[in-house]
Amino acid sequence: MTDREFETHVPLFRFLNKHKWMIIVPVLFCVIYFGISLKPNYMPATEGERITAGLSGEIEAGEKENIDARNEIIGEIKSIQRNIGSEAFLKRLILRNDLFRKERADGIDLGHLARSLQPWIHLNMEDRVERGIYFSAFILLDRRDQDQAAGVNMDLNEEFSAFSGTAKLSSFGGLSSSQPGATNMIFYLKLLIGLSLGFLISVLLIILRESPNLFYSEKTREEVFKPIISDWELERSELGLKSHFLRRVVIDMRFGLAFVSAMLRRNPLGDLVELGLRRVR
Amino acid sequence: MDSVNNSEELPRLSKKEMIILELLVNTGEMYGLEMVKESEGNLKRGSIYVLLSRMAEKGYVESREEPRIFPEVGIPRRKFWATGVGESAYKANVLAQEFFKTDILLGGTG
Repeated sequence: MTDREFETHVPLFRFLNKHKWMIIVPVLFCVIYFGISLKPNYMPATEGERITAGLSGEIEAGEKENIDARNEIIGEIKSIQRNIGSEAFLKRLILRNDLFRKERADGIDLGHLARSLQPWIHLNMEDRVERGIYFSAFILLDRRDQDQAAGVNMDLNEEFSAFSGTAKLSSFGGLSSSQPGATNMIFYLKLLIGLSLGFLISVLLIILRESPNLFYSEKTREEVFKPIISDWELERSELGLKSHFLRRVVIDMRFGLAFVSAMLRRNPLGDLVELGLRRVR
Repeated sequence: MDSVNNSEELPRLSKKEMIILELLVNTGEMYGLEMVKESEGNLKRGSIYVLLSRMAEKGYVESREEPRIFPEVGIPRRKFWATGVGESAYKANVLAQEFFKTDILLGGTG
């Protein structure tokens, strides 16, 4: 059995062969679109090229008796963490510690750099009823900025200075990163979204393409849908092999609409509507 | 042809059916896409074949598949022509329209 015979005899392969473009084009389009929409990130892609700077702290459990005081502390920590995650704070952090030196010299917008740093901030807070309130705030930096890690630590410590008396703070600067590769995760997530959307569009297109076979009689297919596809092919072939992308798109849209319109008109409901319109006239 | 109207009533044609029959009576045989282009926007790609299919059911038109001529490839195209019934129906409707126009212009009894 040749490949061609194999393709035409196995139903799944016959189906895939028939609809290959309806699967390939939307999936490729969506994957490329989502790939491009991935904003440039100025953080290195591999874990080994990143370092961690930040601090963690624990406020004694003594406060557990006083729920209001405890909630106040939690609120204050949340507010500090929100501030650390803000673009304004990150801009100041970049400037004060001379981070992203090369990118800034290349004229990359400071706001963009700050936003590119945002996914690399890890903020955590846990209210451990028995032991106290635990919190942490650390940022992953480019290994090139290793010398600046101490400065970043100081800035983060400064934000939590209100707790310097009550919390046991421990800072860490310039540690090799052991965080999961967030860039890769975002990339794979976008890839997954692109693939899913592409397949969804493919399924819809295939349903649309196959609906005449599913819902309409052989006679209707022969007399209505086949001639539309034939005209569609003709108009496309008249463009020749030269690239007339826009005209091709216009033809595809025009005939796509014609196809759907014919489907609706040939529908028993469409027949009723048409009959009604004729009576009105 | 089962549904051909054999009564003595004037076969009523819609505006679009009139346009199609006019084109077919004047030109002979035509493809659907040709009719769309000739109709100057009165016929649409999405409705032409539905109309032609219904007209074929009424016995006004007939069609056959025309294989593509090399180097063209693809699904055969369908060529349509008016049947005797279709041509008569068209002519009768044209006459009726002319009669009513004249009647109205002359201030006829209606």
